Parts: sequence; structure tokens; C-alpha cells
Amino acid sequence: MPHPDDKSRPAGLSIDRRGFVAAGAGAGAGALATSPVKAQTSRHSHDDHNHAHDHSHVPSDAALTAMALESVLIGKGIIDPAALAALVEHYGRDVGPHIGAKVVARAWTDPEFCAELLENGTDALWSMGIGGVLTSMIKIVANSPTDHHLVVCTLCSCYPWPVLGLPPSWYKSPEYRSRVAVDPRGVLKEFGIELSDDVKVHVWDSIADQRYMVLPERPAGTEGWSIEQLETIVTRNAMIGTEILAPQSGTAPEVQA
Amino acid sequence: MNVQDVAGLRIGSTLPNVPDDREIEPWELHMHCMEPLIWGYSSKSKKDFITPIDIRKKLEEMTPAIAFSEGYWAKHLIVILETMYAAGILTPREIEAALYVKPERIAAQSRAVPAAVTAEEAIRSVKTRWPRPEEAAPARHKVGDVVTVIAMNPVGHTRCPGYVRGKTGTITDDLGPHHLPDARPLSERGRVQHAYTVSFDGVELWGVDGHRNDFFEVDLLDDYLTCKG
Repeated sequence: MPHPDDKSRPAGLSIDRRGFVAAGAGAGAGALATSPVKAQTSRHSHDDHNHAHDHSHVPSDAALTAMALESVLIGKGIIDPAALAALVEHYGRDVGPHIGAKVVARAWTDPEFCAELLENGTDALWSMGIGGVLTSMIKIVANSPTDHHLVVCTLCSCYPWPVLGLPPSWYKSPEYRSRVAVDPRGVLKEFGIELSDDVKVHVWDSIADQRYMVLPERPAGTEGWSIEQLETIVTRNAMIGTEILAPQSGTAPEVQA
Repeated sequence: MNVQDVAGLRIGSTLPNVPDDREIEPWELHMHCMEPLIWGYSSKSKKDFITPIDIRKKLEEMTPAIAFSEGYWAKHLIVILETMYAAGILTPREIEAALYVKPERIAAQSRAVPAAVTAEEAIRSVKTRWPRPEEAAPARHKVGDVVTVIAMNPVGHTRCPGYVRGKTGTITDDLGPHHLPDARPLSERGRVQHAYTVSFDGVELWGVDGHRNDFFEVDLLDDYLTCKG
């Protein structure tokens, strides 16, 4: 199966990359002094120029090593490329925030479903055909003017994959996980949310088998919108609790029937 | 130390990738999908060289320098390579050699191993709703109980994070029977027991640095809790 990054695979092998491969062989922490991922996460400013150019970048050593691992495991027959392709399609396309958005839009427009969703999230989702591993138990918590909810897993990175797909990198970072457990209001400010002291903040630490998803408040200016139109404005971060959906002005978005 | 138990450590001064909000990279998506296929092969082949529990243990035992600076999938990659090298399933030489070869060429030479997870098995595994464990021990607590988390500092895995140990909160939900995943048994009550959502307020957890209107809703098992008073 061609790897999406294959065209950028370089011809040579850098010292860093060799160090990374060796690290797994027990070379220890020293071999990782050069960060295999920093290259890939380095930013360049988007403020100073328009982007007509290709955004391809040099893949990190970790990316190259992961691709090599994939090649070797497929070569040995340990991984069936068809199985890998099926999972990549499932996690890369089939599941994602668009699934959670359907749930939210329905809850906004169907009070009976909304009540079921908040009472028994797992069964309500399965009634829509949504679920699977890691949402065998899920609770939906509703934001309101008096209570703001957000989700974390401080012990690893538990996340409701079947409704939100795979988490963004910040959700899994030690920075988010460590700081949201002591200063959720400070973390929310970094996401552009300032809450008054009177608003209760609930941090859901999903460290057992239950998963959590936030039901954001329906923004003003969406009165009369269809479920399909509402789905378009529900974001992943709003369902983690790190975004409050902005009021809408103007006409409802056009969506395919 | 368990470098995964990070709550309250205030690592970093700001979040990485916000507001960039980087999406998952293709190689990370592939890692996410390869990992269960490797576990599946390990189990089906009866070689049992790697399990999710092995990976978790090695992630918890990493040095802080790596744990707090490397990306999630880079850490998993290190652990997987280390484990597979140690088990003799792979060699560093094979990985190095593969850096020069197009994946298609290797795939063309691949031969099916019966223990490899099939596409059908892979998809079934992600779409299956896990059954809840059978009730094995009656609930020792109920909604509304004020409970204190026991003091502990174990070697090995626990789902009782450091920031709530010794702290007092109120049970707001009974989640039913759960598996106790701790490396060490905590009581004679067995491995299946009730879990609860316990609500702690910011001042209880963090004193003068806590906020009176912050609430930390933490899911904890019976063995971790004692009734106050």
C-alpha cells in the first residue's frame, strides 16, 4: 500500500534518524537528545505571505521510522496491508467530529432525544448506530450559561474515538493534561474562552472506562436552521469543551439535501 | 516515577499546537492503526511479545526528559521498536534498510502469515461494543456519599491519580462494575468492582491556588475510596 508521505522519503539517512532507530534497540535516552518530532511540529508564520506554495515539509525522523516499521511488518507478513488500509480508512475518514456534530445537531432540535442522550449517552448513541470500542460507556455533559464542561484524561489520553475520531495533538500533550487539572480557566483562555468567576467549570477526567463528550450550547442566530445546517457549525473543540460556538449572523449555510 | 500521572504538574507555560491546532499526521494515523494489528499478531501467533499493558508500563517508566518533550506517537514508536527488538521479531538493521526501500517493493515480497489480523477482524474489533463486566462485588458506596481517596504511592499501574489521593469529594454517579486495572491488588474484593464519578472542588485539591467554582469530576473505583467520618 503506498504510504501518503512516500514521495517525500529522502535518499539518505541522517545521523538523527540512525539515532532514533538505535534508540529502540536500547541505546537509551541519550539517543533521543535530538528530538525526532520537533522538525515536524516547527511552525512557520502564516501572517507575512499568502500561501500559493506547496505545504510539503521534510518528514520527521519519527515519521520516517514509523514508515520503515510499517514496511518491514508488511514485508514479514505480520501486518496484512488490507487490515491496515481498513483501519486507516475507518479512523481517517469514517469516524471524526462530523459524527459528533450529527449527535449535537439532533440534540438541539429534538428535546426527547436530548433528554435520552443526557440520561444514557451510550444507548442514545447506539440508537443512531454510533458506537464501538471506547464508547462502550459514554456520558454526554451539557454546557449552559452557568456550567462549562471540558474533557481530559490525565493518566493517558482516553478519548471518545467513535464520536470524535482521533484527538488533536494538544489533547494528548503533557501540557494540556497537566495544566487543565489545576488551572482549567487558564487553559481555556489559551483557547480564547474567558469565563466569569461565577460560572462553574467541570473538568471530566476520563481515567476509567467511561468516555465523555460535551454538548455545546446552541449559538444564537441559528433559529429555524435544519439539522444539516446546524451540523456544519459544530466543531471538535466545542465537543471537548475548549470552544464556545460563536453566535451566527446572516443566513443559514447551504447544505446538500 | 509514573511520568504519565501528570495532573497538576503545570508542564510547559502554554499549550503546544494551539492555536495551530495541528491535526494528526498521516504517519501518526498509521501508527494508531498499526498498534492493534501488532498486538493482534502477538496474541494470535502465541508469541505474546507485546500487549497494550506492556506498552502502558513502558510509557509510564520513561524518563521525564523524553516523556514531557516527545510527541505521543514518537513515544509509542520507541516502545514498540524496543519491545520488538527485544523479542527478536525485528532488528534495527531491518528498519534501517527499509528507510531506503519503497514500501511497495517490500509489500510486493510480503507473504501472508496466518497469525496476521485480517481486515474483517480489524474492523469488527473497532465496531464492537465491549460488554460491561459482570457484577462481582456489591457497591460499597452510593451517590451522595462524601468519600476520601486512600493514600498510596504504588509501583506499577493504577487508575487512581496522584492529585486526588487523600482528598475528599462527593460521589455524583455510580458507573457500575469496572475492572480494577492496578498492577497490585488493593484488597480481597477482587478485580471487578464499582466505579464512581467523584466530584472534588478546586480549593480541596489545590488550596489557595484552587478556584472555588472549579470542579474536577474523577472516575474512581471502590478500592480507592473510604467513607469520611
